[in-house]
Amino acid sequence: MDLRIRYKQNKDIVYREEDDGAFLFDPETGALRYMNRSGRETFLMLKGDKDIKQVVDNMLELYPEVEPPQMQSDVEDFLKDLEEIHFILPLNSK
Amino acid sequence: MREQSPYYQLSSLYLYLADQCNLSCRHCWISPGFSQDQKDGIYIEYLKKAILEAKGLGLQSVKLTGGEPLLYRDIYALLEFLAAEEIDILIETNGTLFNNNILEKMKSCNVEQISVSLDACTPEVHDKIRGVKGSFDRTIAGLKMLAEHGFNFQIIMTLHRNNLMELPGLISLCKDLGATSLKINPLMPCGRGKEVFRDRQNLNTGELIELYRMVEQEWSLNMDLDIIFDLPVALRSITDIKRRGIIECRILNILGILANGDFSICGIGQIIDDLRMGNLYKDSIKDVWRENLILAGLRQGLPGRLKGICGRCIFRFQCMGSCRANAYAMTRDLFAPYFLCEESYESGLFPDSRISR
Repeated sequence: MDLRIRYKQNKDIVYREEDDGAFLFDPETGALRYMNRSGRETFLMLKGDKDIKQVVDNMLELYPEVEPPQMQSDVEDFLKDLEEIHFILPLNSK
Repeated sequence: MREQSPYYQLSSLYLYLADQCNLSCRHCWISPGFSQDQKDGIYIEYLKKAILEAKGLGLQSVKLTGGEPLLYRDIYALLEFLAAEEIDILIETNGTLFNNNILEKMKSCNVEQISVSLDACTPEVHDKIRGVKGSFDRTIAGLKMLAEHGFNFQIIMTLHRNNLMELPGLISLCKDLGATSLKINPLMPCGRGKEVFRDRQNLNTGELIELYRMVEQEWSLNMDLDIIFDLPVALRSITDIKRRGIIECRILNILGILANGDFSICGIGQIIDDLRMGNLYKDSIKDVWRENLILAGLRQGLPGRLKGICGRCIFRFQCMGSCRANAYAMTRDLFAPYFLCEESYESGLFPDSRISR
């Protein structure tokens, strides 16, 4: 995965935070992704215009106990899933 | 934009086989007459013809309900027919009429889902709600027979104020009986249910939401029994939605057939004449499905014409306003907001996070 990719949220997708977690939801298709705490943090970093590398680095600061390769793999899997269902869209893909 | 297809699959038929029931439940939303005897109900040859025609429209499952479906004189022949046609069979019953013969037939016909109504863990409370003394004992005997025959079955409880305290005991009883799930239904203010509302024996929206949270957080944990509290998706927790998905009435893909052969959007035609649309004995199910104006109106209007909070809810494309039959029964408007959601919005209990911005 190209770590320089930046993503933006698909404007048709709803992001909501609630007491028991956050979720992304496509009102028309009913597709829903529940996000735990780290998923939510990752997603919010994307909204802050960070590329994948910056997101991984920031997540490692939040979770220093996680090995860097593991964190990178977790972040990539999470983003790949969101991209596949068009919840997030790549801004650049150099 | 979502593509609009002119073709709607008729996935499921709800067959209200008997307009009579051997119980007389205080809350029944379609108010069948009382009878202990078997009834002719829908003439089976016409029913078979309609089912075959519906297969061409995409039919996959048939729900047998009533009144009490086991009062239907041709129940055996119907089960055999549906099994031969490889149509999934779901049965909703009060469980008082099971015997070895019908259970063996249901087994051989691979009945997919059996739901049995049980409103309490004590005979006094259940019998009072069901209107017939001894019905609790008969239903319990029926449930034991189901378990002995190796069926997976669901128990359905309708929530009144006067069976609320029975819930913990009923959960234990469901586990003891071997039920796979317990579905808790709030009362519907239509049919005989209107009188229960008038007597203020229903739980208000706030009480329902509080009970839902208690069930989810305290009683659903570490249990073999799946407890399904039937609230509209907008009022359910995200954890629950994640676990169980968005389960709502698929109103655009179902059709009801009443015991006299009338078609309706479900069983609601039994109490609301406006929602009857043709009759099995003289109309083709294909024509009704494709050309009826009520169905066309629903297809055009859902979810875009939903009113009140339902029109602003982020789940409107899936939920479609929860129960349209109930909305119509209460307001004579197919697009009126669902009463539980509207009440919760008006009382500040509808989650802001579920409203479109």
